[in-house]
Amino acid sequence: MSNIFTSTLKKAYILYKRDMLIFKSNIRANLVRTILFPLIILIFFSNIGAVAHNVPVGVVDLANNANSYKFMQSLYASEGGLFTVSTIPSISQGMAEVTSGQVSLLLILNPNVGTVSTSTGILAYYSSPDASTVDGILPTISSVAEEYYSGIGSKGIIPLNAKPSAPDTEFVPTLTSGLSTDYEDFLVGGVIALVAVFGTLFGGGFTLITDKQLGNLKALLITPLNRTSVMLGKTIYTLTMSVISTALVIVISLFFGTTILMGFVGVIWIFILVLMLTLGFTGISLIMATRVKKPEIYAIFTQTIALPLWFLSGAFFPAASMPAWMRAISTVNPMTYAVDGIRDVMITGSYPLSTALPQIGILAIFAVIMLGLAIKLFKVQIA
Amino acid sequence: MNDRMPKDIIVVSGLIKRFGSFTAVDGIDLRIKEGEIFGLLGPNGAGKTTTINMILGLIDPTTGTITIDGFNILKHREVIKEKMGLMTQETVVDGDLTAKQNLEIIAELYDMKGKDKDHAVDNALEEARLSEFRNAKAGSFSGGMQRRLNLVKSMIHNPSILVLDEPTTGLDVQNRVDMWDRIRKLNKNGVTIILTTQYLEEADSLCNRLAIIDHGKIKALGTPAELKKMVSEGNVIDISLRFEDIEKAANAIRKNLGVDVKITADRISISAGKEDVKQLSKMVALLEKEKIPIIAASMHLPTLDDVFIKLTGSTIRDALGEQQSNASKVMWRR
Repeated sequence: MSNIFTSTLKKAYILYKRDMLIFKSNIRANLVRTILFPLIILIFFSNIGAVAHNVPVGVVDLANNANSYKFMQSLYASEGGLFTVSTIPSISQGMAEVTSGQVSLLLILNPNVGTVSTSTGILAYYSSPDASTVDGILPTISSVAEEYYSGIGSKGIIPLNAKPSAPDTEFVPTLTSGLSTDYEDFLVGGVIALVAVFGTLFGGGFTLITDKQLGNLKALLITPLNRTSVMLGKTIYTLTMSVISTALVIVISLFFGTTILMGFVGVIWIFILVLMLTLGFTGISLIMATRVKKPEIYAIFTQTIALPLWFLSGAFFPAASMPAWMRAISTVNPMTYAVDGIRDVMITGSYPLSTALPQIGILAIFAVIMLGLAIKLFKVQIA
Repeated sequence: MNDRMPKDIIVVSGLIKRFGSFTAVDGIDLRIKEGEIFGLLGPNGAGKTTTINMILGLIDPTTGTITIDGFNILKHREVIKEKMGLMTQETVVDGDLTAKQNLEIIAELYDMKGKDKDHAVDNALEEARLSEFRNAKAGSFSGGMQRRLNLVKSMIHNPSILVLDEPTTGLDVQNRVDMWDRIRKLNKNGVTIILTTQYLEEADSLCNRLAIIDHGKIKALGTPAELKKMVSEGNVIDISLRFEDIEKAANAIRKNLGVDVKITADRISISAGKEDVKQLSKMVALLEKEKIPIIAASMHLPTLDDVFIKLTGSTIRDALGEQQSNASKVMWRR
């Protein structure tokens, strides 16, 4: 039994070595191909000032007096398609809506709003994935506040990261947010996930299908070789590819001025998340490769799966801005959890185990299901 | 057992393979002797490749048994894999790897290591006359060089049985003759060879015995000479005619001379038996009388082509195109 096990591993390693030798023989072209994609996305998209429309803003009016009423009227008057204001009865509900993405910005009007001496008259809360959206509307809201309550001044609105104590309320802030973020920082997390997934689709599965087409697979299978070795070899090869491409994207984004708030530990977390995501998609790519005959068809199928999943993962734009049915898909999309995790590590600067374990757990379940199916289907295919 | 009598190294009995409702191999019995060159002929889709894939252990039979050197293929897959080598119709080398790397990978998969492996790889490179190109990428080699590399790659573990699936398809004349020499040399060294080919003259000159397969069944089995005898004791007469005259000429000959006439694209052929010369002159006279112009008339000993036409009703090339796509679909879909 253990004999079969070690021999499977050994053969898998030989096959892995073969794929790596092929990769190395064209190393320059392969690396350029890996770099080009994230580079283009970062260059073209990171400079988009996220233009926001109808950003949902929730207001909890704890003051409920003449001043707050006037402020609200002013706020309604200045919406102008940029944002839409709604009132929310309680702070806890407001925080829940920020967390779930129903509102992007939560304003809390303290009871003392409008009295001259306070600096915490209005508190603004938002969660980190919405940071770039909120950046677009904060100036307008600030100016409304300043215009109306001339005595409050610019300190009237404080971003959440300042962690204000809120003496007048029962509410204790539980969300944490990083330094001021821009779209580029927001995007990098998504690009890492995307490059990892695309690297996966053009990793083991793609080489398997070309091996099949060129007859190499048959030549390998007539040697004393356990079929699981083939799957294992391709999987290890794919993991290697995704580690290489992730490392490259991280280096490139550092050049672009992105910071990883959690530093070196953060990089390790990113690699763990990417590897877990890669495992699941390796399964998908191997299933595709055993079902499909031609590389072109394979490429079409896999991209049809991967691109929507990427869009629905909140990689490109915040999940908050999606309609409800899309948000529902995004909660069952494994890529969402990888992107969220990477973004927590990079932007929020904190990735507690209570967040990490469920996210990585979901990715692990996804991986086990997909790889299990791949091994099963491969046996049926040629055995 | 008489030790001059070679033993049966491959015994196939009652072999059936179905893919869904399609029966690719329909009850094949074969005994291949140790040390012979055995040919499998037949149009693509006839069941040759499926039979070979089962002998190689790549796919399992629906029913029937295959034993190789006394080992049942289903029970002793690993043992059998060590004994068998395969070179396919497509040249299978990794173009991005060097000749040496190509060989090393396969040697390692056959559990060779250290000096054994280096020795085997060096020998193979020498054998393929590629020693000086050992560190060049195989993709830069000419077709013939790649084919030689392919052959030594499938022989790196010294198999006692080598399966050659259309080994010379696509090779130029020099390389084809070179490949024939290599196959004969391997055979002389004791390797049993199973060969499929679409070149009937190749089968004729290489094979000790051959089987013609069509629609999953063996239509004929024997030495090339035995098979040719099936067609005609004497010469075969071919008469080339204008397309529009063929039907008329065939009917006239059938009616007046009472012989069996086969029609192919541009000619009629008749197995003439012993009185071949007399028959030919009779036919020429008859066609002249009927005012049917003869483009050419010839007499030759039967070839495997004639055997093939007699058994499958078409020439091997006619059958190629239409069945090829079916064959490959069946292979991978399942």
